[in-house]
Amino acid sequence: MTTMQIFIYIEPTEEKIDPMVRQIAVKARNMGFSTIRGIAVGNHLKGKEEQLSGFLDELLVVDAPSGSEYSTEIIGNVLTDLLGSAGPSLLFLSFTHQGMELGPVVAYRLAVPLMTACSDFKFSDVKGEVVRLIHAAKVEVTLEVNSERGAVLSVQKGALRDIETEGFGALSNAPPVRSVPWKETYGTAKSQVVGIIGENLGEGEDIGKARILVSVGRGLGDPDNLPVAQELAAQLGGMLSCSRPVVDMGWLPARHQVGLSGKSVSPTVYLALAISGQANHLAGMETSKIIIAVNKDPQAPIFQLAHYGVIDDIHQFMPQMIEALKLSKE
Amino acid sequence: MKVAVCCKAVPLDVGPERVEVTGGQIKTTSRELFLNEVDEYAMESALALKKKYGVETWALTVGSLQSQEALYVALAKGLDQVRRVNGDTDRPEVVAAGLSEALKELKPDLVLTGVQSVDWMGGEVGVFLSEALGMALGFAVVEIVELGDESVQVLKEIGGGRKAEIILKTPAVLCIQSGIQPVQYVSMMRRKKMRGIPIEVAGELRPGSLPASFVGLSAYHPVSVAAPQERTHAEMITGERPELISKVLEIIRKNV
Repeated sequence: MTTMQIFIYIEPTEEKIDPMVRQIAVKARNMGFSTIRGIAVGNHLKGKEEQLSGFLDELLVVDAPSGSEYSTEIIGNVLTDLLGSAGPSLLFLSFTHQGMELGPVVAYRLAVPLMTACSDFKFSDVKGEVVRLIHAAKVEVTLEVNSERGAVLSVQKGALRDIETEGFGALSNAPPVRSVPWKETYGTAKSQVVGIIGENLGEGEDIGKARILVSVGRGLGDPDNLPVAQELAAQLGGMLSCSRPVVDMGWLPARHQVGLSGKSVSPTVYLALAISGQANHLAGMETSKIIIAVNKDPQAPIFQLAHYGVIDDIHQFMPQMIEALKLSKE
Repeated sequence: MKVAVCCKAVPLDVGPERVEVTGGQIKTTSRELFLNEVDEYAMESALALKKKYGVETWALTVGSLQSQEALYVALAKGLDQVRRVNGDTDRPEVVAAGLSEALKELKPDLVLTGVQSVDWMGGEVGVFLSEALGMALGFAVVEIVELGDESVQVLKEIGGGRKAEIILKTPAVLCIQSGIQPVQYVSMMRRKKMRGIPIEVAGELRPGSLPASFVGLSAYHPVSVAAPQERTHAEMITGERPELISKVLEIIRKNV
């Protein structure tokens, strides 16, 4: 049994707690770590503690002023203080917007190694091994980490999806909650959150409600090709969505964007056309029932998540699929 | 007021056959380097600030001579000054250590970086800089709303399509998200013309003797590189295109 402490930072979510919290806890327990604690800043977990039953030994809830859950300056101060006073520990974060920002802050202040975007990891008390993707997810690197003084790890969304958390029975009740009193030193000195702006759906369709999504990526090549994709979506009775570069280039409005920065969707069918499959996009559509990917690059990372794959040029594939659909309706 | 853009030249389309671990470093055999895509958006943001507020704009990079390509793009786009920290590393904490030394000399009011690079994909460098320089941090910034004498107001992504509006005291580091500004096309001719301009070196990387505050971050080393391990893979549909399409439609009909 290893003695190093494990902390998992739990981000605020509007709905259920990120399943990755439970997946990290199960993986850490299986590696032999005996003490696993969750940390939440503010009371955003109130009423959701049951979702952590069986996974955590203790839940630390920092008694922070309302709105603190979105101040990464405050959360960084809290995590540094809690980890610093706990002794050598491993801190796990999700590789999300918050996790990307908090990981380097805490690692720098504690002077411990930072492993970002981990797709796999194993640790003992003094060292660990981490696997992560580099070079647009086309190369995998294995890193050896000296964790004697602790380490900070952010885990790529979806990386632990194969870890079974159902029926995990290490602990049966909701974790005991320990209230951590607010300290003046947790407060902000350099930044102030003045507002949170919700998702802007505009007047268009809500892609979150679609049963079929036809989703296009950078490989669409030109906005002039959008009408073909739109017609395909219409012929299938679905809606059009896209990956980030399509929005960045101004081809479609942000309400069509699927991914970490955009919308998380779970349609019955997700038809990914010329989407390479970077992790930020996959995080937003991995729970789709059936994912069909069409891409002319056989090495595209999307094929590692999709249920079905077609190696083809979408500029040939889309019009012929439209024709086939029209014929079938005659 | 001074705005510094930290940018990186990266190899593109690198597969496992062009990467190796040598002497504790990950090395690529790609000769040609390009400006990291998100860093181009950081440059565009600096230029927008120059136009609106008349700020002085700088671009800095860490790398070998080849990496100057990123600085030529900066000059071609219209940034005022460029500097290179000499050295070659794949490690984000070493890049940040090199940049922080140069930035301490430069004393900018704002430091802009792209949110992450396409090679390491970790997004650490900008955050390390804010810590090392004691500056406020705006991460995944999608709009610079207003720049004042002592503060900057920005919109940052917080995920799920939501944004946070924050006011940061300056000096501050802003990690710029892609799409913040339209990217202006720079002709190859203009970029080539910039290659004749001598680039001043603003320091040397010292991976073996990092500043004390960066040493703890370096307690790791790469062991191996490989093609991504495929834990799962799509069932590939093969055949002539009409057959492919027919099979795809059948899968859709069965499930919807």
